[in-house]
Amino acid sequence: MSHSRQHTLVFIADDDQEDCEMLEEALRNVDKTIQTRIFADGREILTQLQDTPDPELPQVLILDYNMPHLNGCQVLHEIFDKPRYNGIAKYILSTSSSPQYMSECRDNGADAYYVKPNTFQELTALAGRMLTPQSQG
Amino acid sequence: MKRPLQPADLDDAPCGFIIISDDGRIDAINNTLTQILGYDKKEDLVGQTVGAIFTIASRIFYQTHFYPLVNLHGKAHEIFLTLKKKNGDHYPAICNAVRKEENNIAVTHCILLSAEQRGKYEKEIIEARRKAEQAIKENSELVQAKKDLEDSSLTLDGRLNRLAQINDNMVQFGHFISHEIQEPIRKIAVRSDNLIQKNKDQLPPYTLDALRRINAESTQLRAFAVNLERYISLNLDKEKSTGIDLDAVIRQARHNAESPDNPGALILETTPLPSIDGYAFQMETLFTCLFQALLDHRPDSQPLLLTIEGQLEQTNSFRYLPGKYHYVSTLRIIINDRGALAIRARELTELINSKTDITTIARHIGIASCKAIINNHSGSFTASTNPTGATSFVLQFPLRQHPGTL
Amino acid sequence: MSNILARHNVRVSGEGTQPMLFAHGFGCDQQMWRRITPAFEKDFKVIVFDYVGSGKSDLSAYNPEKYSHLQGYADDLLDICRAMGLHDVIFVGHSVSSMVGVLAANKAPGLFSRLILIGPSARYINDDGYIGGFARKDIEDLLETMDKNYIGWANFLGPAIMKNADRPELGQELTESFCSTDPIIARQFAEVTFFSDNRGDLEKVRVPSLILQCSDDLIAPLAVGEYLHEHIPQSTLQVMTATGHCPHVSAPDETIDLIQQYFVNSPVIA
Repeated sequence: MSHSRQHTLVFIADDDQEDCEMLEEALRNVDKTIQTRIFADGREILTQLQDTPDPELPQVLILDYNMPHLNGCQVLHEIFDKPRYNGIAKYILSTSSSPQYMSECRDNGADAYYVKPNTFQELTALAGRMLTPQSQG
Repeated sequence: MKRPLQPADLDDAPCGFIIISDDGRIDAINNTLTQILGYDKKEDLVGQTVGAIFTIASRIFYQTHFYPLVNLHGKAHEIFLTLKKKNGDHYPAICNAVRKEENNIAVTHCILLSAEQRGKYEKEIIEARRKAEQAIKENSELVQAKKDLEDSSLTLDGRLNRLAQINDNMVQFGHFISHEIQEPIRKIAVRSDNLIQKNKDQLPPYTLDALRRINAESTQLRAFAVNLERYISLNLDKEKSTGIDLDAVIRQARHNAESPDNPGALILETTPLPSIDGYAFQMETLFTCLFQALLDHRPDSQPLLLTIEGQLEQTNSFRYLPGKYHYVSTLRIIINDRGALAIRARELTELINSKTDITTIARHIGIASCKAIINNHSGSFTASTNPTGATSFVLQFPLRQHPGTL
Repeated sequence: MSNILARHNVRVSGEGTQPMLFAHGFGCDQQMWRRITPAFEKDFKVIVFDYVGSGKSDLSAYNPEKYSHLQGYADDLLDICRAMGLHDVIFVGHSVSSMVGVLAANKAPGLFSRLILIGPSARYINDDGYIGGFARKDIEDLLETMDKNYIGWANFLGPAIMKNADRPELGQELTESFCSTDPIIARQFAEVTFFSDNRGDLEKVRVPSLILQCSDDLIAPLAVGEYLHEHIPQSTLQVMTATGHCPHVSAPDETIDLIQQYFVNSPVIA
């Protein structure tokens, strides 16, 4: 794992494979060296986070809201009060624009809640925003 | 020994006697009453208004009941009045009165008898009656209330149950809209966009054009689904109710409605509004949607001038149950376009006054949201155009929300 | 509609089309107007009525919650106007009815064209620099006087033979109940009236009004009339020669003249 610390690592959880692939592509448009790991539901990503030692945790977490087993907000809730996850930028990327979901996610530590856009161009712009704090850090 | 009645008989009769003119002055008074009231001579009282010998309460009663009664009916019997002596002491009296014409001038003759002894008993009787009435009233009210409560709790239970079902359905429907419907629509939009972007140069113009149309329609449909989801969530969201600074809310809403598409498009002339109870986010959404709707309905791109004023009034807060009254302070917010919306005000007025919410959602999601928010605050929303062509949008809210309404 | 008209014992007379709606005050019923209304029957549609609890109104419609506020009476007024399809109404209110009219006109200004307020007051009790004419204690005494007259209340309940000298064409005597008012309701009406405070409603009046102020009225002293005139926009103040609180009973001619004069100075017929 010698390369892992030089490049930004992003964990993505979304039950929609096509969305995952597009998001990966958008992230790579912003940063060619980016590393991604894809998870198909909330439980899977949470288990992985818990099993990952501190130095190997990702810098960015992008979660869909509606997923099987655990939704995006429930994942956030599980890691909310654990200091070891404090340094991770946490985003929700969802189809839904419900104000209820938005405030719920904000209350559970999401840095931002984004509604999935209609075009790849907008998705790339969004990817840029999600990666910005990393490039500065 | 038989003899004719003489004037002195009345003067010293064992009762008070007084003649009152129509403008409320003492025309004559007998010795007995002069002495009872503690005056040395009649001249001290003759020519004075009756105010000199009645307590304030009796003067009110005289003006509102006694005088009209005697004037229209010609007489009155056993009226209780309290007289005021020269030293300020009270003299409770029973009065019989008759109206007479003397040289075409109407006057009232009254005799007054002491009611001091009677008054003491009466006081006790009145007190006992009041207590008895109170007890009966409370008891019968209680029995009735208990019966009403039993009746209505059955109805209420049924309705609450039904309401809970409807609400559950709404929650599921909301989720359905947010995910099951939006997801495929978004996919169509994203895929068509992807196809266009990646194959612009290879695709035949006809196919490209068809793809663009699919993309435009799916994008529009998605925007509608997003709005619909927000609308439904208005009925489900439970943010915390607070005192709302309406002036600040209106300022923020103006900012939201204007930018970034219409900077400087909205000019507001406002008078300060009182604070009301409500949901802050919803209130901001309400005025934002309303201002946006008004801007959308401008006949041209000129800045829109609106005057906003508030009026406080009392209204019955029961809106559904007949025969129930509870008057509360209500704020009427009147937004006037001074005729600027002209012919386009009609569509808006129809939308606002329409009773069918679903049609309104389809036609104008912003107005539908306004209505939902106003409903959440037990308010009402109407619009009307007066003959000069100015349209008033009237929003009415209870100043304080009844606990449990919000 | 007929429900509302029966509830208030509404009577209509006159040959005109523009409605003149007369609202009686505290202590009596529509009969208070019988020396006034004939003068307007030629030109107007004259409407008189009884408040619930007064005269021949439907006592069963009395609702203590509703009538614990003057707005309850004002809402009834609007019910009558709407049931009869009235508009451009000239409202004539005596005493407490003046404020009932003000509340109604503020809620539905479009229904009214003029307000004529006879002996009005917006607040009877003195209050921090405001002179209403009474201390709270005076009003409590009045309620006690009303209680004590419970026994003499038979006077106020009909039927009785009434002299009708002013309208001989109706015959010498007229059998009518006089101002029948239920004593318990009358007492609540007194409480609502004399403890009310409608000063805040005056500035909201959008209908032109005439204030008829008696020159020596204990219940609505001159200072009160001036206060109203100062605070009601588009109001005209007319101080009468008549004294007392019931000029429409004691000085009907002067009352009629002043109203007609007002109509000339401020034309009401379109």
